[in-house]
Amino acid sequence: MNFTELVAAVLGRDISPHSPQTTMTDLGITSKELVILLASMEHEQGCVIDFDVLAGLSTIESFERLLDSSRRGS
Amino acid sequence: MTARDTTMPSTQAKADAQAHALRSAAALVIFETDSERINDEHLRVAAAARFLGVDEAAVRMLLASGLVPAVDTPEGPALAYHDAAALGLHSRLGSSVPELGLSMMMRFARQPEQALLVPLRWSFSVRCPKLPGAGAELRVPGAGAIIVPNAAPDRASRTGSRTDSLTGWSLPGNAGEPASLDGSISTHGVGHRILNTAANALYDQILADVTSQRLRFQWVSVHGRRDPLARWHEGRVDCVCLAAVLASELARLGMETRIESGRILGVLDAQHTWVSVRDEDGAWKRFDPLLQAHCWRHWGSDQPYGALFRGAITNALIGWPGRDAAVVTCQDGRISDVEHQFLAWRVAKAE
Repeated sequence: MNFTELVAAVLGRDISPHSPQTTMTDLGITSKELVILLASMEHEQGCVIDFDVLAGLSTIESFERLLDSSRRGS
Repeated sequence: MTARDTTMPSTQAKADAQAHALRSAAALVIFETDSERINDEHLRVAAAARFLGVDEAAVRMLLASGLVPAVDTPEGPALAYHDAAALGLHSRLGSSVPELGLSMMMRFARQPEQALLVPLRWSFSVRCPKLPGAGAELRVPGAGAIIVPNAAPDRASRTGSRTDSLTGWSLPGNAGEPASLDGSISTHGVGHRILNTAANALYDQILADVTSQRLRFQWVSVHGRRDPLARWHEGRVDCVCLAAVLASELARLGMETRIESGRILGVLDAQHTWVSVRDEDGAWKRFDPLLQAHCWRHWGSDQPYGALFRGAITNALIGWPGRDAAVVTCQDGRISDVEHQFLAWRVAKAE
């Protein structure tokens, strides 16, 4: 599942029309929604995202990269 | 037996276990006053279940137990939002938004102390959905952070009558329309420690009280925050209420204090409020036993994490003086908060 699919499944939002450089703020995703989204990502990957990684997340692209790297690492 | 039949017992058992955890949490929660509850958002069963990360059946069982104050709505019984948040925090289910949010927010503190003090560089983006008629500004942060907007907009003090009593950066745009400001933030920590003996004793007392649940950490609504001392006497506080009470307590010790409001930088934009105190060496230091209590909650008191909240400024938690938000407007000499979103992401450790 890629990030766009994850957002659709967890938050019921279609972010596919947006460019990869779109930030979570631009998408209007709230902090509480982000908590739910990140928890879903952690649940799916079976790991905890540490602060170093969290601190670098901002755009759709950065979330996609995180999902990609998790897939490569598993 | 059909497949449906075989799954039912485990689903029921899961809901029973969740309901049991919530009923146990209810015994720990200090619920909102009636006045707060009336003014609070109300979560019906499905919304409460999503917020708590449990099955709807568990919420129904909880409501039926009579252990929680339900709100009667035309669509059925509901939980007040901050009562539900307190249930989540005390449940230790690990699935509620408050628990998950607190856990993610505190990850910044699980680093060696030196990593929380080194210079860092961040990018930021502030979005205001509707610019007030009087304009809005991003305020200048306090010690440990320097903001540099990308487009070098006017300082608010130069924008004529719009926000001329302020000293931050104006958000460019037209009244009633969305506005934004992007730029960079340089942060660095300062490894202060509180020296004053009485202040240290107060810090230890609060840390022990929160850790032992004599003082419950719970989310408090805007309505509830209007009387922080009342919340303190009830035995429940959030960061805003605790900072207000501690400012009074430290002042009673003869110390100069100031409230600061800030946010943990990163995609979650977790907001936090604390009190800073001028110590006997003349330095302003953050006095934040609540964050150390959160560290102990997550990683135990035998771990080193959180000790630096007894005075230090960290590179991931920036603050603005006072109780005002980071983005404010000024009309007729009166400053008020402006709704906004603030996103910061780390780009580098500074050279």
